[in-house]
Amino acid sequence: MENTSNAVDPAADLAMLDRAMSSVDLDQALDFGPWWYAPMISTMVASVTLFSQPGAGDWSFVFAIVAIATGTAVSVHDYRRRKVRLRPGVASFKVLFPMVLGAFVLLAAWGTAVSSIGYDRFVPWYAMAGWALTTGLLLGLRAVLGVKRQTMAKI
Amino acid sequence: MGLEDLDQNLTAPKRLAAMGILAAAKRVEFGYLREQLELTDSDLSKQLKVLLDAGYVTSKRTGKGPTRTSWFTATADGRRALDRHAKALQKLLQPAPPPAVLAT
Repeated sequence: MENTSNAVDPAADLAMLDRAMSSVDLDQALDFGPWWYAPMISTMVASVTLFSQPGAGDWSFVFAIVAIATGTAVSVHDYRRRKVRLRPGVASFKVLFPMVLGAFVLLAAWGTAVSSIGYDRFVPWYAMAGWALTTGLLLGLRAVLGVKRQTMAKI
Repeated sequence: MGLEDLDQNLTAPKRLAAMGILAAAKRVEFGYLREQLELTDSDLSKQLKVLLDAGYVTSKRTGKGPTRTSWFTATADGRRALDRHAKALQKLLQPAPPPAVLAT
């Protein structure tokens, strides 16, 4: 902590408050759980919308079950080690929504890319590859955020 | 609005930072607060006791033995107090209005 005296310095106090809240926000975003919820939810949506070709229904169901089971297992495993719990309501929505949206856009991009090269029928493994790539990219982004968190100024 | 509008429980930087962290999360573990604020256990306990006594924070213990963990949560009163305190600090930063010119 930089300002350790009890004398009131409004500018320093406000800056410190901002750093404290920002660091918690970043730690919540770095929490492992949401990074699995995002691809999980986007996969469920994408499997129904992007790949709604004949025969996609059964695979979408299997695909969604796999995604949900993976996300839930990882989240339950990580739940106890979390030192900061997400705020309820709008605040957590602000953290989760960009992740879900970003993952969905990525998956849509994979779907578009696959369609553009002539694969116009539903192939479950392409969808699975899209999910894996999405998750990989999100974990990469999480690693970048982790480095940023390490270099943040101390509270 | 002046210094008198500041919340005396939050004027200490350590308590202000702790309250900022708590207000930004649902609940926070003692060890996380200690790491973020770089305080000793006893110093942090002392600061949190002030916030607990003021009704700004609640605490809950979970687990047993080595897995025993203390969690802290900002109350609605605590969040409101932090909001008021931050607004008072912002007011202090604003330039004072020019003195009124006395009519002669």
